[in-house]
Amino acid sequence: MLELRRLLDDIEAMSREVTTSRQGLSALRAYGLDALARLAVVNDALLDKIDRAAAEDPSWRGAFPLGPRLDERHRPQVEPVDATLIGVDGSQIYPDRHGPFLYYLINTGAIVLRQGSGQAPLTETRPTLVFREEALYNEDQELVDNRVVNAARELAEIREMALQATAERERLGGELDRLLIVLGDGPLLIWVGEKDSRDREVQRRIAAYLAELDAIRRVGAVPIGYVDRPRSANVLRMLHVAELDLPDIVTENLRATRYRHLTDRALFEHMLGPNERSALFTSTATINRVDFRQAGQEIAFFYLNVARDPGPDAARIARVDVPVWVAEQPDLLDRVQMAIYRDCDGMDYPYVLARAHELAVVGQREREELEHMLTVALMRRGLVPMPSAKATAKRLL
Amino acid sequence: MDDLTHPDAFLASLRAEADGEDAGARLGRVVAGSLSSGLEVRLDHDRRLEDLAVGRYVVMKAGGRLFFGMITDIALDSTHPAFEKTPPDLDNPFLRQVYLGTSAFGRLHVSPLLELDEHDRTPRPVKTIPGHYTPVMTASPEEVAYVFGAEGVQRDAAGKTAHYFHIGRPLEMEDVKITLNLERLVERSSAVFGKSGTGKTFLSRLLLAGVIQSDVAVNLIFDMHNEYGWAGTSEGATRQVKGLKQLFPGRVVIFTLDPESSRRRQSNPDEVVTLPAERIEPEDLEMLAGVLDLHEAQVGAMYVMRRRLGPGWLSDFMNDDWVDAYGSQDPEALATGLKALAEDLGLHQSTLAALRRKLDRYWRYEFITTRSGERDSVALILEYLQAGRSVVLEFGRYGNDLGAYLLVANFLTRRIHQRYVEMKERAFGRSSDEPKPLVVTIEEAHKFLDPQIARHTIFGTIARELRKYNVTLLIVDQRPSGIDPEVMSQVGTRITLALDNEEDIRAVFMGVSGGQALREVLARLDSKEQALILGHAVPMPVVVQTRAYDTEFYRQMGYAEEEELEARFQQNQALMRGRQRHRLT
Amino acid sequence: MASPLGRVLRSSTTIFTFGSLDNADLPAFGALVAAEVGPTWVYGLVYEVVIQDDPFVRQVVAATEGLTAERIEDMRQRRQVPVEITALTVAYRQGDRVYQRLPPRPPAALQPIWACDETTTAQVLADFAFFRTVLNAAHCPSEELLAASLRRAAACRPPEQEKAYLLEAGRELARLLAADLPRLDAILRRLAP
Repeated sequence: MLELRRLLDDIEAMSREVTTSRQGLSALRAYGLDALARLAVVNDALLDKIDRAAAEDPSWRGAFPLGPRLDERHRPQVEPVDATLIGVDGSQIYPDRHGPFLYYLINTGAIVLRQGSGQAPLTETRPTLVFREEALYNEDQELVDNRVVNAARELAEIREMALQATAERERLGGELDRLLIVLGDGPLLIWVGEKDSRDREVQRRIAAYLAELDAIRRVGAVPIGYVDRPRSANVLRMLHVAELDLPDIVTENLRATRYRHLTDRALFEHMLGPNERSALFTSTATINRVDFRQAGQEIAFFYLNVARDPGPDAARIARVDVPVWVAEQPDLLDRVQMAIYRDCDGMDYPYVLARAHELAVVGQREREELEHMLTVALMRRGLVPMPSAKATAKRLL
Repeated sequence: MDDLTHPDAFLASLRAEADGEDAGARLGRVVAGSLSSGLEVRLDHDRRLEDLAVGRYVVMKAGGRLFFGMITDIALDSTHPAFEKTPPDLDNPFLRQVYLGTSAFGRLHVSPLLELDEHDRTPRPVKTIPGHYTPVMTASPEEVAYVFGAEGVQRDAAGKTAHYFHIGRPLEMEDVKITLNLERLVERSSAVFGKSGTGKTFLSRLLLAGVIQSDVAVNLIFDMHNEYGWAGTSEGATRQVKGLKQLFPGRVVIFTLDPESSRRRQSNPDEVVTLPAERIEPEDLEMLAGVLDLHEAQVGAMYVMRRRLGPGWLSDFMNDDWVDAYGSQDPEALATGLKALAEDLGLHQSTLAALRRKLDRYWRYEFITTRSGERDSVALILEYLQAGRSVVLEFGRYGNDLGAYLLVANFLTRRIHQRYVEMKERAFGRSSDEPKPLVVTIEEAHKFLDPQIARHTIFGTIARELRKYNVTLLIVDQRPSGIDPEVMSQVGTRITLALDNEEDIRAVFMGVSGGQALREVLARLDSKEQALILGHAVPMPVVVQTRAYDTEFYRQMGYAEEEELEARFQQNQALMRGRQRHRLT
Repeated sequence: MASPLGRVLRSSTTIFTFGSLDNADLPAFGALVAAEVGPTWVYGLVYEVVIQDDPFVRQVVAATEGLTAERIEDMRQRRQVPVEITALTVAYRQGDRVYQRLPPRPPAALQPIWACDETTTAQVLADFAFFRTVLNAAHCPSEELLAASLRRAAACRPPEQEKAYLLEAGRELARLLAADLPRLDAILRRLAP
């Protein structure tokens, strides 16, 4: 149990700390906004500095601008057109070595919402139960860790996105005019540690992922990675680099950024009005600049204020990942932006993603029912699964 | 229908219907009741009380039997008292349809009358009742017709030959003939009741025509108002209707007390009735005590005189000369005249004087004759009767004189009855020698059958004797309550037209088991041409619309109109001349 | 019977509750539904439909401006929290015979629940023995339920029989509720066409 009175001093200290840091962040943000304005024009010197930084420290993640200005604010001037939005999300049950069974579960949820149709959206969930020994243990006979499960979920999600996009295009009878946007919850670019990026297993994973992206592109659908309340600071890092002289761009200096604790979001909250997006950038991550680019699927991103009301307090900034081949088509990008903004109406978050999440999520009760069914099935075969003592104890609490 | 009146076909249909209820005719179900108090029937919800009427027949099929009953009362009921106090919303058509007949419903009281066994097809009095929830149906015309027997000569339930006389039809059944078993009608005394103006005479004439035509009995009809013999009047119509003599010229003779009146009405009396004064006995006069206001002493005086003065007592007593001269031959007499007579007889002179005064009016009747050697009317009447001819005695102008009517009817009936008793006793049970059954029709019967005198009059005797001496009465009266209950209980068949008076209605059912249940039926009769018949001559009580006494009836009685006779004559002539063939071509 | 209305969440001898994910095509109050239980079919009258909210619905409801037709239909037809529908058990069928009494066993969990077509409804509710089952049910609005189910059953008959059926039912009620006129009247008013 928690004895709150023992924490009274700490609570006081914490509140003091937060206030101070807020004030600091506010000043920092003002500086950042100023820098963005000052350094707005993209020139070769800037691009060289970014390239240098990326080369100097492969783990450095900066934003590489695709347009002529850094401080671009763009609101599409197109009429909103009905699009079909597909939301996909995934969830998982991690393997529990203390549980009665050893398994993990991936569940994806998908929703296909046809704007303007008046019809109920289509929904689908797809659970995958992983229980075979070879899938549960690695070469060293160790139980797979959560990263493996996360990667599997990531792949299941992109696969579901491709599957739904393909199916919906088929349902449209080959009509290609209808804008088809497939939203995933989270970055479109997968995360791979720089050290592991040449690992064979990782390469297989990347290839599989890219294949799904290709499949989406083939059916003329636009894949979107949607990051709500992003905590990334790629643009700030880029600004930091921009104020360094080229020779000063070394690992040590790269890390000593003045914008520590500040996020890009804080910047754009003060910059972007409703339905305004930032300039387009790409991530400098190797996997993007090498693997994805080679596959024609380099990922770009922009920040978008999906709020209805103006002002920094009302602003709701999302980071939207799109393949560069989409970013290079301004009209298409405008339509995509309009469609996303429209779907965020009401909750400042894409409706289809909220629903996809709801579809995908596996509740505690559902999990218990699943395990109950497994128990019954096993008992029918004469096996009595015994949960470990620790799990039993946990359940009692 | 004709087929179904055939017993076997009828029973076949009965059996068929016993299996599947005929929903169309169903009125409701028996819900309570007893043999003595009758059955309570809950009306089906689709039946309307307005469509029903007391007096209607119903049938109930249960346990291989067919029960006949009559609706004798109709009532409103409900499942809950609140329905009466707070009626439901009847403006709503659905609620109305649900409630009416279900929560608020009609009830019938049904008097069980007869039962018919599936195997033994004879209608018998009910000895049990149908069980709970037995369906109750409107009796079909076929069923009613079956119970009453077809018109004409049939074998009755006991296997005896019986004449079934068509008297009318049941209410609301056009084609069914209700028949009376005439043998049973005359077997015991019968009565036709009804307040004045309801057609008692008309109905009686109908019955008498039936009796005469079928020859089940000969009739002696005291025709007080000259309505039976020749050209009687039809109630409510000014036109003349045919009298019995006109219908049965060879089988009816008309006697008259008043030849002049009869001739005036072109009645062509066959005989004139006279009452020889020396035949009149105190018994003949005693029953006039009420009319004449005779006291006990005065009646006693008559008997004394008869005993002392012999058969000529009345002629002498009423003869002024004789009275004045009384005692004058006896020189020792202290007095003469009435005083002497009174002293001789040991009576008060005032008694005799009053008696003379009261009898004086009678004495002046023309039909009382003092001449000896007159034809004996009693013998004459008997002669006719034994020859199978019915006698109608027209009273002419004396019809309005109750005293004359009573005197004559009593005088003749006493003697004729006496002769019947003698004949019957002589026959010793040999039916061929027995006198022909006689029905004596009397109007204003309560005058003869008043409880005060019924015990002493010949009519009371006849009624009580039943058919012992082959003489029965047909009582025609408007005041059944004035008739001695003991006599009433002996009346076999009661044919009752509308009655107003509660006492009269009660009297009709005197001595009839379950009769009280029929009171409502009787009280609701139309004032014309509807009659409730119950008793000996019908298998069960019945309300009839009496048949018309019209040319169709005449024809059925064998009478042919003149034009008709003419036509028949022409036809016969043609036949004889061989024109028939020509007419056919 | 294309797809089931839902599946049994819980059941007892007298009632069964089933969940439906489709908000838009819910069975009507008083509708007859059926579940297979071994060799028998169990029939019940729908008397309670509970649409429970969840945080998501609250969120959508709060965002009135975002209520597009697609979202409304989505919320209605593709809910994650099932609509709970409870039916009062009134009859069961074994072979060709319908018995208007409680079945030997209630439907098992997750058993699919089917809507009854007109023929079945007319057949199962042809008799009136179930009146007392409904009238005696304490946990449901029995008067409303009886009236609603009878009107539905009447509508399942050929048009020329509808009125006769209602009348007959009304008279049976008048018989059953002879001692409780306010109740009788209440039902009959709801039954009136």
